[in-house]
Amino acid sequence: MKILVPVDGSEPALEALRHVLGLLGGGLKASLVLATVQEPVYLYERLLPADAEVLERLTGAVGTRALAEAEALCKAAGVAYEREIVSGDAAQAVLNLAAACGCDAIVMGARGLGALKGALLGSVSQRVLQEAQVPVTVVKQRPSAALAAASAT
Amino acid sequence: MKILVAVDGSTYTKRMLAYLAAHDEWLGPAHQYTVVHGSVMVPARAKSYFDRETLKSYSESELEKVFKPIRNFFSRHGLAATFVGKAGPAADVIAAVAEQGKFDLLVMGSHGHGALANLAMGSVVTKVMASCTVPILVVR
Repeated sequence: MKILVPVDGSEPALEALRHVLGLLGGGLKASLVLATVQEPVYLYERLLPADAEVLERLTGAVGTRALAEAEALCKAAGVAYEREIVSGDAAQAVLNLAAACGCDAIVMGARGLGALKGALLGSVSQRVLQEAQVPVTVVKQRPSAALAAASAT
Repeated sequence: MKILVAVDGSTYTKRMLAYLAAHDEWLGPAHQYTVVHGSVMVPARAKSYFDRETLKSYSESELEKVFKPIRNFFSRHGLAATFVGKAGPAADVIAAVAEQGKFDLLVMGSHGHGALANLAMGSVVTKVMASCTVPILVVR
């Protein structure tokens, strides 16, 4: 079994990853694909004088940063994983990746960085949930974890 | 792991069970299963025409109709499961049981018996997601 875990560095995404790591710890045999979607670099941005932020996106540094915490979690748990950094529309990219990597399941946070604070289910999760061909697990942040994250910042 | 399985006897429930059966990591003695179903409530006005015993046997037989194939499914795989059936709106029943029981995972089909079954995602899934914090595995 191959599980796709899309992360964007947000707390719900990490919560989703912790859920998967918990499953693996419990004896689930699965390989892990950590994926992050960064904003695409548009042609006009390439043509403009170099901007540090654009350069970062070109080299994938933005994606690497989003993956950093997730990778640290995996390493701490001693779990092997593949990493993918893609760019484009987040939901579409996740759906494409799931198909391209041949994943059997997607586990994602209820909402990521992009969502409104009050929204229950992020737009990306919503779309993935509706259109994915494979089973999708949506992990909501436990209230205790949400409190811990709030007090940490 | 404590797994809560939401069922309603629809084809999506069958598909979900088939998915569980095909992936032995989800189906094994390592997990504890609870099966939940929210059955149709008898309207209060209709209730007043029947005595309590009739109503009780009616709701039990309705529940059993849904639970029987599931019971067979679990016994065929040599697994034990607890069955929880309550009369009430499916989403409320599922969310309440999921929250109270400290489950690690809730498994449900993407749609149920609802009238608008062709909608992109079932209304029950959406409602359950809104009202509980347990990770939900949606099988389509």
